Amino acid sequence: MTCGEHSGGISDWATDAALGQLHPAQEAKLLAHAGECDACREAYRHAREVAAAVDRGVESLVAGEPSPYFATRLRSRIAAEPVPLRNYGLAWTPVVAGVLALAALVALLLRTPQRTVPRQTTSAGASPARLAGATVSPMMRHSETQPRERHSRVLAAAIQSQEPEVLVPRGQLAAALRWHDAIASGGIDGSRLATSQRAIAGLLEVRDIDAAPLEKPAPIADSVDENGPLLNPISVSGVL
Amino acid sequence: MDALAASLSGSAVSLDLALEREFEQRLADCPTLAYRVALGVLRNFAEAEDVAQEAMLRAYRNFHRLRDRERFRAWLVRTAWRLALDRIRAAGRRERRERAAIPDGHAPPFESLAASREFERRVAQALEALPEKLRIVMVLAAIEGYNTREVAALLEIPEGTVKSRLFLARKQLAKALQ
Repeated sequence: MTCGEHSGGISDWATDAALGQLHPAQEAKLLAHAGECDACREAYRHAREVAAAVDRGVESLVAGEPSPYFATRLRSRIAAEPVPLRNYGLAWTPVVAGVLALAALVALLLRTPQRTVPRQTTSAGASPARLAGATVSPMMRHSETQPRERHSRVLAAAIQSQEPEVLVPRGQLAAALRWHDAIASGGIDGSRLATSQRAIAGLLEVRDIDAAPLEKPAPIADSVDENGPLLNPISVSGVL
Repeated sequence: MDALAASLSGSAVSLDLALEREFEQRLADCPTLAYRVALGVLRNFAEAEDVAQEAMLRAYRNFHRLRDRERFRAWLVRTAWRLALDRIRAAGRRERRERAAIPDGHAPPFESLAASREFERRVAQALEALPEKLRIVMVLAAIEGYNTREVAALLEIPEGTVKSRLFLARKQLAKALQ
Protein backbone atom coordinates (compact mmCIF):
# COMPACT_ATOMS: atom_id res chain seq x y z
CA MET A 1 0.00 0.00 0.00
CA THR A 2 1.11 3.55 -0.74
CA CYS A 3 -0.08 6.89 0.65
CA GLY A 4 -2.07 7.72 -2.50
CA GLU A 5 -3.62 4.29 -3.07
CA HIS A 6 -6.99 5.20 -1.56
CA SER A 7 -8.97 7.62 -3.68
CA GLY A 8 -10.00 9.71 -0.70
CA GLY A 9 -6.53 9.85 0.74
CA ILE A 10 -5.10 8.10 3.76
CA SER A 11 -7.03 10.33 6.15
CA ASP A 12 -10.36 8.78 5.09
CA TRP A 13 -9.03 5.32 5.84
CA ALA A 14 -7.57 6.58 9.09
CA THR A 15 -10.85 8.18 10.16
CA ASP A 16 -12.86 5.08 9.29
CA ALA A 17 -10.36 2.93 11.15
CA ALA A 18 -10.46 5.22 14.16
CA LEU A 19 -14.26 4.97 14.20
CA GLY A 20 -14.05 1.18 13.93
CA GLN A 21 -15.76 1.05 10.56
CA LEU A 22 -12.93 0.15 8.22
CA HIS A 23 -13.02 -3.31 6.68
CA PRO A 24 -10.60 -5.64 8.53
CA ALA A 25 -8.58 -6.34 5.38
CA GLN A 26 -8.22 -2.62 4.67
CA GLU A 27 -7.38 -1.91 8.29
CA ALA A 28 -4.60 -4.48 8.18
CA LYS A 29 -3.20 -2.78 5.06
CA LEU A 30 -3.42 0.64 6.73
CA LEU A 31 -1.66 -0.53 9.87
CA ALA A 32 1.05 -2.23 7.88
CA HIS A 33 1.63 0.94 5.88
CA ALA A 34 1.51 3.16 8.99
CA GLY A 35 4.29 1.05 10.45
CA GLU A 36 6.54 2.12 7.59
CA CYS A 37 5.27 5.67 6.84
CA ASP A 38 5.66 8.37 9.50
CA ALA A 39 3.10 10.71 7.90
CA CYS A 40 0.40 8.06 7.71
CA ARG A 41 1.18 6.85 11.23
CA GLU A 42 0.73 10.44 12.42
CA ALA A 43 -2.52 10.77 10.45
CA TYR A 44 -3.89 7.60 12.00
CA ARG A 45 -2.92 8.71 15.51
CA HIS A 46 -4.53 12.09 14.94
CA ALA A 47 -7.74 10.47 13.62
CA ARG A 48 -7.98 8.30 16.71
CA GLU A 49 -7.50 11.34 18.95
CA VAL A 50 -10.16 13.26 17.12
CA ALA A 51 -12.63 10.36 17.26
CA ALA A 52 -12.14 9.99 20.98
CA ALA A 53 -12.40 13.74 21.45
CA VAL A 54 -15.63 13.82 19.46
CA ASP A 55 -17.21 11.25 21.74
CA ARG A 56 -15.92 13.01 24.85
CA GLY A 57 -17.07 16.38 23.53
CA VAL A 58 -20.61 15.22 22.81
CA GLU A 59 -20.75 13.38 26.13
CA SER A 60 -19.71 16.55 27.90
CA LEU A 61 -22.47 18.43 26.10
CA VAL A 62 -25.15 16.14 27.47
CA ALA A 63 -23.61 15.56 30.88
CA GLY A 64 -25.67 16.98 33.68
CA GLU A 65 -28.49 16.32 36.05
CA PRO A 66 -31.73 18.17 36.59
CA SER A 67 -31.86 20.33 39.66
CA PRO A 68 -32.89 18.79 43.00
CA TYR A 69 -36.13 20.74 42.78
CA PHE A 70 -37.14 19.18 39.49
CA ALA A 71 -39.60 16.66 40.94
CA THR A 72 -41.08 19.15 43.40
CA ARG A 73 -41.61 21.71 40.68
CA LEU A 74 -43.17 19.12 38.39
CA ARG A 75 -45.55 17.91 41.10
CA SER A 76 -46.72 21.45 41.78
CA ARG A 77 -47.36 21.95 38.06
CA ILE A 78 -49.29 18.68 37.93
CA ALA A 79 -51.36 19.77 40.92
CA ALA A 80 -52.21 22.99 39.07
CA GLU A 81 -53.48 21.06 36.05
CA PRO A 82 -57.16 21.97 35.47
CA VAL A 83 -58.36 18.50 34.53
CA PRO A 84 -55.89 15.70 35.15
CA LEU A 85 -56.49 13.09 32.47
CA ARG A 86 -56.00 10.11 34.66
CA ASN A 87 -59.25 8.33 34.03
CA TYR A 88 -59.53 6.24 30.88
CA GLY A 89 -63.21 7.18 30.53
CA LEU A 90 -62.47 10.86 30.13
CA ALA A 91 -60.59 10.22 26.93
CA TRP A 92 -63.76 8.78 25.39
CA THR A 93 -66.03 11.63 26.44
CA PRO A 94 -65.86 13.55 23.11
CA VAL A 95 -66.47 10.34 21.16
CA VAL A 96 -69.52 9.41 23.24
CA ALA A 97 -70.91 12.93 22.92
CA GLY A 98 -70.44 12.81 19.13
CA VAL A 99 -72.21 9.45 18.83
CA LEU A 100 -75.14 10.65 20.93
CA ALA A 101 -75.48 13.80 18.84
CA LEU A 102 -75.42 11.76 15.63
CA ALA A 103 -78.06 9.36 16.96
CA ALA A 104 -80.30 12.28 17.90
CA LEU A 105 -79.91 13.80 14.44
CA VAL A 106 -80.79 10.51 12.72
CA ALA A 107 -83.82 10.05 14.96
CA LEU A 108 -84.99 13.58 14.15
CA LEU A 109 -84.61 13.03 10.40
CA LEU A 110 -86.57 9.78 10.54
CA ARG A 111 -89.30 11.28 12.64
CA THR A 112 -89.89 14.54 10.77
CA PRO A 113 -91.60 13.16 7.59
CA GLN A 114 -94.06 11.13 9.65
CA ARG A 115 -95.25 14.28 11.38
CA THR A 116 -95.51 16.79 8.53
CA VAL A 117 -95.72 14.99 5.21
CA PRO A 118 -98.90 13.28 4.05
CA ARG A 119 -98.48 9.81 2.73
CA GLN A 120 -98.46 9.82 -1.02
CA THR A 121 -97.18 7.54 -3.71
CA THR A 122 -97.21 9.83 -6.65
CA SER A 123 -94.17 9.47 -8.82
CA ALA A 124 -94.02 13.12 -9.64
CA GLY A 125 -91.61 13.68 -12.47
CA ALA A 126 -92.18 17.39 -12.26
CA SER A 127 -92.62 19.01 -8.93
CA PRO A 128 -96.32 19.41 -8.13
CA ALA A 129 -95.59 22.28 -5.81
CA ARG A 130 -93.83 24.15 -8.57
CA LEU A 131 -96.67 23.43 -10.97
CA ALA A 132 -99.19 24.77 -8.50
CA GLY A 133 -97.09 27.84 -7.79
CA ALA A 134 -97.69 27.33 -4.12
CA THR A 135 -95.46 28.43 -1.32
CA VAL A 136 -93.58 25.35 -0.29
CA SER A 137 -92.14 24.47 3.07
CA PRO A 138 -88.46 23.52 3.49
CA MET A 139 -89.54 19.93 3.82
CA MET A 140 -91.31 20.15 0.46
CA ARG A 141 -88.22 21.64 -1.13
CA HIS A 142 -86.23 18.80 0.35
CA SER A 143 -88.69 16.35 -1.12
CA GLU A 144 -88.23 17.93 -4.54
CA THR A 145 -84.51 17.42 -4.48
CA GLN A 146 -84.62 13.88 -3.14
CA PRO A 147 -87.97 12.31 -4.09
CA ARG A 148 -86.81 8.74 -3.76
CA GLU A 149 -85.39 9.27 -0.35
CA ARG A 150 -88.52 11.00 0.78
CA HIS A 151 -90.69 8.29 -0.71
CA SER A 152 -88.84 5.61 1.19
CA ARG A 153 -89.11 7.64 4.37
CA VAL A 154 -92.86 8.06 3.88
CA LEU A 155 -93.26 4.35 3.28
CA ALA A 156 -91.24 3.55 6.37
CA ALA A 157 -93.32 5.98 8.39
CA ALA A 158 -96.56 4.47 7.08
CA ILE A 159 -95.40 0.97 7.92
CA GLN A 160 -94.39 2.08 11.39
CA SER A 161 -97.66 3.84 12.10
CA GLN A 162 -99.79 1.13 10.45
CA GLU A 163 -101.83 3.83 8.69
CA PRO A 164 -103.07 3.49 5.12
CA GLU A 165 -101.28 5.44 2.44
CA VAL A 166 -103.10 8.26 0.71
CA LEU A 167 -102.91 8.20 -3.04
CA VAL A 168 -102.56 11.67 -4.51
CA PRO A 169 -103.28 12.13 -8.19
CA ARG A 170 -100.44 13.42 -10.26
CA GLY A 171 -100.16 17.19 -10.18
CA GLN A 172 -102.20 17.60 -7.00
CA LEU A 173 -99.47 17.02 -4.42
CA ALA A 174 -99.08 20.69 -3.55
CA ALA A 175 -102.81 21.11 -2.98
CA ALA A 176 -102.95 17.95 -0.90
CA LEU A 177 -100.03 19.15 1.20
CA ARG A 178 -101.72 22.47 1.81
CA TRP A 179 -104.93 20.74 2.80
CA HIS A 180 -103.03 18.45 5.12
CA ASP A 181 -101.18 21.34 6.74
CA ALA A 182 -104.41 23.28 7.16
CA ILE A 183 -106.15 20.34 8.80
CA ALA A 184 -103.15 19.41 10.91
CA SER A 185 -102.78 22.97 12.16
CA GLY A 186 -106.48 23.20 13.08
CA GLY A 187 -107.27 25.87 10.52
CA ILE A 188 -109.88 23.59 8.97
CA ASP A 189 -112.14 21.21 10.82
CA GLY A 190 -111.49 17.88 9.15
CA SER A 191 -114.71 16.22 10.34
CA ARG A 192 -116.89 19.11 9.10
CA LEU A 193 -115.07 19.05 5.81
CA ALA A 194 -115.74 15.34 5.44
CA THR A 195 -119.45 15.82 6.32
CA SER A 196 -119.90 18.62 3.81
CA GLN A 197 -118.12 16.57 1.15
CA ARG A 198 -120.56 13.69 1.72
CA ALA A 199 -123.51 16.13 1.50
CA ILE A 200 -122.26 17.51 -1.79
CA ALA A 201 -121.71 14.00 -3.11
CA GLY A 202 -125.31 13.19 -2.19
CA LEU A 203 -126.63 16.11 -4.23
CA LEU A 204 -124.77 15.09 -7.29
CA GLU A 205 -126.85 12.71 -9.35
CA VAL A 206 -126.26 11.47 -12.82
CA ARG A 207 -129.36 11.41 -15.05
CA ASP A 208 -129.93 10.38 -18.63
CA ILE A 209 -130.11 13.13 -21.12
CA ASP A 210 -133.50 13.53 -22.77
CA ALA A 211 -132.99 14.34 -26.38
CA ALA A 212 -135.77 14.76 -28.96
CA PRO A 213 -135.51 12.56 -32.05
CA LEU A 214 -134.13 14.22 -35.08
CA GLU A 215 -136.71 15.36 -37.58
CA LYS A 216 -136.33 14.80 -41.22
CA PRO A 217 -134.94 17.98 -42.68
CA ALA A 218 -136.99 19.86 -45.19
CA PRO A 219 -135.67 20.09 -48.67
CA ILE A 220 -133.40 23.05 -49.15
CA ALA A 221 -135.01 25.84 -51.02
CA ASP A 222 -133.24 27.67 -53.76
CA SER A 223 -133.66 30.91 -51.89
CA VAL A 224 -133.30 31.03 -48.13
CA ASP A 225 -135.95 32.74 -46.13
CA GLU A 226 -134.35 35.68 -44.49
CA ASN A 227 -136.23 35.11 -41.19
CA GLY A 228 -136.25 31.35 -41.09
CA PRO A 229 -133.60 29.10 -39.48
CA LEU A 230 -131.21 27.18 -41.56
CA LEU A 231 -131.53 24.02 -39.43
CA ASN A 232 -134.24 22.71 -37.17
CA PRO A 233 -133.55 23.29 -33.47
CA ILE A 234 -132.65 20.32 -31.28
CA SER A 235 -134.03 20.35 -27.77
CA VAL A 236 -131.56 19.18 -25.15
CA SER A 237 -132.34 19.06 -21.53
CA GLY A 238 -130.76 17.55 -18.55
CA VAL A 239 -129.79 18.29 -15.05
CA LEU A 240 -126.53 17.40 -13.57
CA MET B 1 -77.50 4.81 44.38
CA ASP B 2 -75.12 6.22 46.91
CA ALA B 3 -73.49 2.82 47.20
CA LEU B 4 -73.05 2.65 43.44
CA ALA B 5 -71.59 6.13 43.32
CA ALA B 6 -69.28 5.29 46.17
CA SER B 7 -68.21 2.10 44.43
CA LEU B 8 -67.52 3.90 41.15
CA SER B 9 -65.74 6.66 42.96
CA GLY B 10 -63.67 4.08 44.82
CA SER B 11 -62.63 2.29 41.64
CA ALA B 12 -61.74 5.61 40.02
CA VAL B 13 -59.65 6.49 43.04
CA SER B 14 -57.88 3.14 42.96
CA LEU B 15 -57.24 3.54 39.22
CA ASP B 16 -55.87 7.00 39.85
CA LEU B 17 -53.70 5.72 42.63
CA ALA B 18 -52.29 2.96 40.44
CA LEU B 19 -51.51 5.46 37.68
CA GLU B 20 -50.01 7.84 40.18
CA ARG B 21 -47.74 5.12 41.52
CA GLU B 22 -46.57 4.20 38.03
CA PHE B 23 -45.98 7.81 37.14
CA GLU B 24 -43.97 8.28 40.33
CA GLN B 25 -41.71 5.46 39.15
CA ARG B 26 -41.17 7.23 35.82
CA LEU B 27 -40.56 10.45 37.67
CA ALA B 28 -37.75 8.74 39.54
CA ASP B 29 -35.79 7.54 36.50
CA CYS B 30 -36.85 9.48 33.39
CA PRO B 31 -36.33 13.22 33.97
CA THR B 32 -32.57 12.86 33.55
CA LEU B 33 -33.07 11.33 30.13
CA ALA B 34 -35.36 14.17 29.02
CA TYR B 35 -33.01 16.72 30.55
CA ARG B 36 -29.92 15.40 28.76
CA VAL B 37 -31.68 15.14 25.43
CA ALA B 38 -32.75 18.77 25.78
CA LEU B 39 -29.28 19.76 26.93
CA GLY B 40 -27.76 18.19 23.82
CA VAL B 41 -29.80 20.63 21.75
CA LEU B 42 -29.96 23.71 23.92
CA ARG B 43 -26.62 23.64 25.81
CA ASN B 44 -28.25 25.65 28.54
CA PHE B 45 -29.02 24.07 31.90
CA ALA B 46 -32.00 26.21 32.82
CA GLU B 47 -33.64 25.90 29.43
CA ALA B 48 -32.97 22.17 29.33
CA GLU B 49 -34.70 21.83 32.67
CA ASP B 50 -37.68 23.83 31.43
CA VAL B 51 -37.97 21.56 28.41
CA ALA B 52 -37.65 18.44 30.57
CA GLN B 53 -40.40 19.79 32.83
CA GLU B 54 -42.69 20.43 29.90
CA ALA B 55 -41.98 17.00 28.42
CA MET B 56 -42.73 15.28 31.72
CA LEU B 57 -45.91 17.30 32.16
CA ARG B 58 -47.09 16.26 28.71
CA ALA B 59 -46.17 12.69 29.57
CA TYR B 60 -48.34 12.95 32.65
CA ARG B 61 -51.29 14.19 30.60
CA ASN B 62 -50.92 11.26 28.21
CA PHE B 63 -49.86 8.71 30.76
CA HIS B 64 -52.93 6.49 30.22
CA ARG B 65 -51.46 5.77 26.76
CA LEU B 66 -47.85 5.50 27.90
CA ARG B 67 -47.89 3.04 30.74
CA ASP B 68 -45.45 0.70 29.05
CA ARG B 69 -41.98 1.68 30.25
CA GLU B 70 -40.15 1.43 26.92
CA ARG B 71 -42.89 3.23 25.08
CA PHE B 72 -42.87 5.95 27.69
CA ARG B 73 -39.12 6.51 27.35
CA ALA B 74 -39.25 6.57 23.55
CA TRP B 75 -42.13 9.03 23.63
CA LEU B 76 -40.31 11.18 26.18
CA VAL B 77 -37.11 11.33 24.10
CA ARG B 78 -38.99 12.42 20.99
CA THR B 79 -41.04 14.97 22.89
CA ALA B 80 -38.04 16.48 24.67
CA TRP B 81 -36.14 16.61 21.39
CA ARG B 82 -38.94 18.39 19.55
CA LEU B 83 -39.60 20.80 22.39
CA ALA B 84 -35.92 21.71 22.54
CA LEU B 85 -35.78 22.25 18.79
CA ASP B 86 -38.94 24.37 18.90
CA ARG B 87 -37.47 26.47 21.65
CA ILE B 88 -34.19 27.03 19.89
CA ARG B 89 -35.93 27.91 16.65
CA ALA B 90 -38.34 30.28 18.31
CA ALA B 91 -35.57 32.15 20.05
CA GLY B 92 -33.45 32.39 16.94
CA ARG B 93 -30.45 31.26 18.90
CA ARG B 94 -29.12 29.28 16.00
CA GLU B 95 -28.45 32.41 13.99
CA ARG B 96 -26.89 34.17 16.94
CA ARG B 97 -24.60 31.24 17.60
CA GLU B 98 -23.59 31.02 13.98
CA ARG B 99 -22.75 34.71 13.94
CA ALA B 100 -20.75 34.30 17.14
CA ALA B 101 -18.89 31.33 15.71
CA ILE B 102 -17.10 33.18 12.94
CA PRO B 103 -13.52 31.82 12.84
CA ASP B 104 -10.90 34.26 14.00
CA GLY B 105 -8.30 33.45 11.39
CA HIS B 106 -6.00 31.03 13.12
CA ALA B 107 -6.64 27.56 14.48
CA PRO B 108 -4.88 26.52 17.67
CA PRO B 109 -3.16 23.11 17.85
CA PHE B 110 -5.63 20.26 18.31
CA GLU B 111 -4.11 19.01 21.58
CA SER B 112 -4.54 22.34 23.32
CA LEU B 113 -7.89 22.88 21.65
CA ALA B 114 -9.31 19.58 22.92
CA ALA B 115 -8.78 20.58 26.52
CA SER B 116 -10.42 23.96 26.21
CA ARG B 117 -13.90 25.43 26.35
CA GLU B 118 -13.35 26.48 22.80
CA PHE B 119 -13.24 22.85 21.78
CA GLU B 120 -16.56 22.23 23.48
CA ARG B 121 -18.05 25.15 21.62
CA ARG B 122 -16.76 23.78 18.32
CA VAL B 123 -18.14 20.33 19.06
CA ALA B 124 -21.51 21.86 19.81
CA GLN B 125 -21.38 23.87 16.64
CA ALA B 126 -20.45 20.83 14.56
CA LEU B 127 -23.15 18.80 16.25
CA GLU B 128 -25.70 21.45 15.45
CA ALA B 129 -24.69 21.37 11.81
CA LEU B 130 -25.50 17.66 11.57
CA PRO B 131 -28.75 16.52 9.97
CA GLU B 132 -31.38 15.95 12.62
CA LYS B 133 -31.50 12.18 12.16
CA LEU B 134 -27.76 11.90 12.75
CA ARG B 135 -27.75 14.38 15.57
CA ILE B 136 -30.33 12.68 17.75
CA VAL B 137 -28.55 9.35 17.37
CA MET B 138 -25.26 10.97 18.35
CA VAL B 139 -26.77 12.69 21.38
CA LEU B 140 -28.53 9.56 22.62
CA ALA B 141 -25.40 7.46 22.13
CA ALA B 142 -23.43 9.99 24.13
CA ILE B 143 -25.83 9.78 27.05
CA GLU B 144 -24.24 7.47 29.54
CA GLY B 145 -25.34 3.88 29.42
CA TYR B 146 -27.06 3.81 26.04
CA ASN B 147 -25.73 1.39 23.46
CA THR B 148 -26.92 1.10 19.88
CA ARG B 149 -29.64 -1.40 20.80
CA GLU B 150 -31.08 0.93 23.42
CA VAL B 151 -30.86 3.91 21.10
CA ALA B 152 -32.73 1.87 18.50
CA ALA B 153 -35.42 1.07 21.06
CA LEU B 154 -35.70 4.72 22.09
CA LEU B 155 -36.06 5.90 18.49
CA GLU B 156 -38.07 2.85 17.40
CA ILE B 157 -35.82 2.25 14.40
CA PRO B 158 -33.65 -0.79 13.47
CA GLU B 159 -30.34 -1.17 15.25
CA GLY B 160 -28.50 -1.33 11.92
CA THR B 161 -29.88 2.09 11.05
CA VAL B 162 -28.62 3.42 14.35
CA LYS B 163 -25.14 2.02 13.70
CA SER B 164 -24.87 3.52 10.23
CA ARG B 165 -26.19 6.89 11.37
CA LEU B 166 -23.85 6.89 14.32
CA PHE B 167 -20.88 6.20 12.07
CA LEU B 168 -21.88 8.97 9.66
CA ALA B 169 -22.40 11.40 12.52
CA ARG B 170 -19.02 10.65 14.08
CA LYS B 171 -17.29 10.88 10.76
CA GLN B 172 -18.82 14.26 9.98
CA LEU B 173 -17.99 15.55 13.43
CA ALA B 174 -14.42 14.31 13.16
CA LYS B 175 -13.98 16.00 9.81
CA ALA B 176 -15.43 19.23 11.13
CA LEU B 177 -13.09 19.20 14.11
CA GLN B 178 -9.86 18.19 12.35
